Amino acid sequence: MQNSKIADIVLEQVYFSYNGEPVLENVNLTIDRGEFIGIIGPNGGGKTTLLRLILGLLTPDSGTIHVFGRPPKEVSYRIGYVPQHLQFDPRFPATVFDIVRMGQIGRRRFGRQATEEKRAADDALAAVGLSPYKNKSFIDLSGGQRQRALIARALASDPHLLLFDEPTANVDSTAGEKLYQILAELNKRMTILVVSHDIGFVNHHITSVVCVNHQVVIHPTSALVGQNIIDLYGQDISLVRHDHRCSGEGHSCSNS
Amino acid sequence: MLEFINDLLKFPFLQMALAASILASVACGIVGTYVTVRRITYIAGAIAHCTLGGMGAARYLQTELGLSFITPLTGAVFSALVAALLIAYLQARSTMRQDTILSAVWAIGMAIGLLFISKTSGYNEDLMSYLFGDILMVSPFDLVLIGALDLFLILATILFRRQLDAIAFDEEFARLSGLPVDLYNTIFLCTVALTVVLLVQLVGIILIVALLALPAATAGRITSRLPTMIMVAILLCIFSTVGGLSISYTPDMPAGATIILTAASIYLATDTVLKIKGKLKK
Repeated sequence: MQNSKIADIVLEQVYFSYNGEPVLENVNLTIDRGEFIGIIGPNGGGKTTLLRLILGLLTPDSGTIHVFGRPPKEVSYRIGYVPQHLQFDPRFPATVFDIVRMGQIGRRRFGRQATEEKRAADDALAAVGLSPYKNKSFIDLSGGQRQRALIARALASDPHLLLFDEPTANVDSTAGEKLYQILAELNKRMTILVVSHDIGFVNHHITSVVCVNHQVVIHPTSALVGQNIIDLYGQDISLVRHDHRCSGEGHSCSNS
Repeated sequence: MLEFINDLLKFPFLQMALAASILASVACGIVGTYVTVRRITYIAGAIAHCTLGGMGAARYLQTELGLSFITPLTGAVFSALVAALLIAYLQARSTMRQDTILSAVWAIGMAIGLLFISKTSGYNEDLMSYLFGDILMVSPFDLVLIGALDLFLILATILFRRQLDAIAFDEEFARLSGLPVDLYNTIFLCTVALTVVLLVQLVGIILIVALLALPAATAGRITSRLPTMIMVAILLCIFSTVGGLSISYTPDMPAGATIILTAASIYLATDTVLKIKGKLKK
């Protein structure tokens, strides 16, 4: 999977506005296969919009988006999308296994056996460490476990790309670290994009950071220094330094 | 209660009412569960109240203009389907708030019904039976229709359960998986509409909302998977309708109101028991 320079996601001159209000302007972004991308930026800056454009849930006003070389809508079934666990009805009557099996709903084909699907769902549960919770009720899980169940649901459809919306929101830090360990393991097999409000998160697994505030710039993690953050957030905030390895691609931020 | 059992053996109209209660409960348990987990009991409520418009207009056309082929049932089917499709369309396309759409459909439908009913000669008893139904007046034809609806609902849930569950849990994810979510939703709303129409004939507009919402809500408290929730909701529906019917019989109370209060009592009792259990655990 790591054979580099195959672009999984390409955005070219993408503009998007909502009710006449520009949200994203002239976005050019290439994400290569096997990367582990963190998407950060202020509220209302367009992080979630960017994610939804890549998923094909929104259509840009102009510009082109390609995922695996095709328009997003045609390949959305190959993208594993993991929304925030908070948006779900906490009383929804289903077991963890029921939820994971929902990930396979669009992939039913003739000849694909139910036993095969169940095995894939079991594997997905094992990958997120939830096998012992298989028959537990979704209602009885903690926030971090619910988030992991949703990851397993995405994995059950055998995706080539994983997209996360705020995986660590309302999850305690131990559970958050556990989530990132799982993601790092999955990153060996697939490209991963993670949206986060949290700037201190940039943990050593992440290869590049995409900063979104109406415009989009991509930095290798090592290049995310104070001035960028101030440009992004408009104020000085304390910074946690993480990985100091410098990527060969260097710093591609031009307007900061 | 004893008198009810005695008379049940004697009078066919009571036997029919009992059969109608059980058949209607199957439909209520299935549709009620999905409507509850999707949090759209208000859509069912809006469609139910909108049928008053259709029934009123049909009654007017039938008695005042002599169009004998138009019956209140056809009027109700028509208005319920129009309401369902309108709600589905507006939800997908309009920026109006969902509760505004529902309130509007709800009130406009009722207003149309009231206008037509006021201009139709005859007794206003029609209005009362539309609102509250009369389970003791069920015809064999009604039973056949509800039986057919039950069959359709059972088959549809068995065949499409996984799709329905996935959409109910996370519509967006289902869409991304490639499911034709809008199509499913439209068919689902039309099914809700048809269920509402057939049951309104039996139990009335107000009772139908209670029968969809209350047994499913109780079932949701004591089960943790959708299939069991549906089963329990059906059983609770049967218990409420048959129980309400038998309680109301001897004192000659309105059956519909007694059924609603029975279902509500079951919900409250379950809720109280669960709360006490929860406290004891701590």
